[in-house]
Amino acid sequence: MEYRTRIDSLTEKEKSQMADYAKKWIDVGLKTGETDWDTFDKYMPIVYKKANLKYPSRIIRVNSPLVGALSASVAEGIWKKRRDAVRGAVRGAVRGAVRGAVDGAVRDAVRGAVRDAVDDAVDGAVRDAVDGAVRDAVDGAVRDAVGDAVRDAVDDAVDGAVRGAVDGAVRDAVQTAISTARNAGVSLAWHNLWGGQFWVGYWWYGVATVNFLFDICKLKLSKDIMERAEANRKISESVNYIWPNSEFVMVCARPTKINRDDQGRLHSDAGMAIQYPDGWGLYMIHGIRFEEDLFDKVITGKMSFSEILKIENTEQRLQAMRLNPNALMSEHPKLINKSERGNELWLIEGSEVNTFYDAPKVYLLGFIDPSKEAPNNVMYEEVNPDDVERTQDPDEINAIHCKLTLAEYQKLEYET
Amino acid sequence: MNNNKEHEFGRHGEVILKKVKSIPKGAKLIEEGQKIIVGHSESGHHHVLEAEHGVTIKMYEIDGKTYLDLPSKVDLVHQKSAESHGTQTFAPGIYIREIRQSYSYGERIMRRTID
Repeated sequence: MEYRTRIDSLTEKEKSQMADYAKKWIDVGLKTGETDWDTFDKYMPIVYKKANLKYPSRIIRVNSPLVGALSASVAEGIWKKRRDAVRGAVRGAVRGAVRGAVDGAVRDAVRGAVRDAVDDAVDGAVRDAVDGAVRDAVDGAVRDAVGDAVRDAVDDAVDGAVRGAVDGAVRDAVQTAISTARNAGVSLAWHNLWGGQFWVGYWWYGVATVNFLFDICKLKLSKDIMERAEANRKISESVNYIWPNSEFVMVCARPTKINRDDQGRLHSDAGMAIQYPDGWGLYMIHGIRFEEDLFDKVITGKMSFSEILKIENTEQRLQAMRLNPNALMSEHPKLINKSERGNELWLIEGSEVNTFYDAPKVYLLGFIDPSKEAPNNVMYEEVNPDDVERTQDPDEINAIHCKLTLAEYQKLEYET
Repeated sequence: MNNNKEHEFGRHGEVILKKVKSIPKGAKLIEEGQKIIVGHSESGHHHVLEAEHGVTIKMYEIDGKTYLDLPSKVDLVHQKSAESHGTQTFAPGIYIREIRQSYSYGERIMRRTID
């Protein structure tokens, strides 16, 4: 096999493989289920070695990023109190040892235009799919939750990080660290983390791009760089978040589930959209986060419009409207047209709905859902006002919603 | 409910199957099996095409459109116990699958319908 040490252009065959390659890494980024602890345990020491750091003896596995973030930051705080000279979080050193070194070497070996083309097509796709949808939501949620730490959730993990060194004083130290931090208004340094699987498309020349150049374009660099790149790749393929410290490494298990909508955003109308082994997770509807109580109300489909208006967050309100379309019928719409087939076209004007949507006219299509029993078998959908400009025939509107022509819709006999 | 009559055009909740002449050239095979989900549901109430034992249904995709190759008659089943969409039987042939959509005033775009 012929390898290259420099790439100035891509072949058509290489370009044609970008999309499939990106998909492969998106699958890695969104993988759920069993965590590959063995691979992590094999390659993380290599990363520390490349960073000229001694690999800690305390490796703590946690079952959600909330526990990891709280525990790692509190444990770091405890170690800093115990040892003045402790290095603490070593994320910068560790990441620099792998990604930074590999980045620099790849940058030198690959022409700018090629790099950019691959980055856009591969990393960009992976970033959009994995990063934006998942990392931001989880990061944000953990950030919000740090202030509401639950001591019991932290105890076991922190205990593991400092066991043998501060034995009986752990609980007191934890309580002191949290109280001290809170009283001083200090945010716990939860953010000294490495994204693992969620960062496979992250930033410039991420894991996906670099490995496209290696796997598909047969780029081969020095042995040291290839070892660093391999370690980065293996770790990214094996675990979720990582908190590397000079005294311990805390590493998070994969999520047990990740659900997304057709636009790649975290979404589920049947429970948490992302969930970890300890049960922690997020309720998300089309990328918008909900508290559990409100989520349970919104997904019933039985909210009234006035209940929806009471939701303070605008984005949550919009999603609630989307999942409770029948709420609009309580706003005294006017029937414009009804077909022999039973389809109806309704108009709402001069209502709070119009203010809510900033639309002077809001149209609804009413149609029969054969799976339901009368009288609760009429469903309502919002209608594009541009479509109503062209036709006020509710059968034709229904055809548009079915992506059929009117002639095709009129031949549709079987609806269940 | 299913009257066992095969047909070539039906709406099953938000899933619409319509018989067409052929699968466009260049379409990529994305899935095959005796059972194929043609309408996913977050709550697990999927719309599933089920062929007879030993028969393979093939799903293709091109330009954002989905096509199905049904070598023999298949049932379209709703995986839900209560208020389910009745089973429909489709004749052998090539089909295009559409998913119903509706407008969202909040986002000012057409969106896939939630079933």
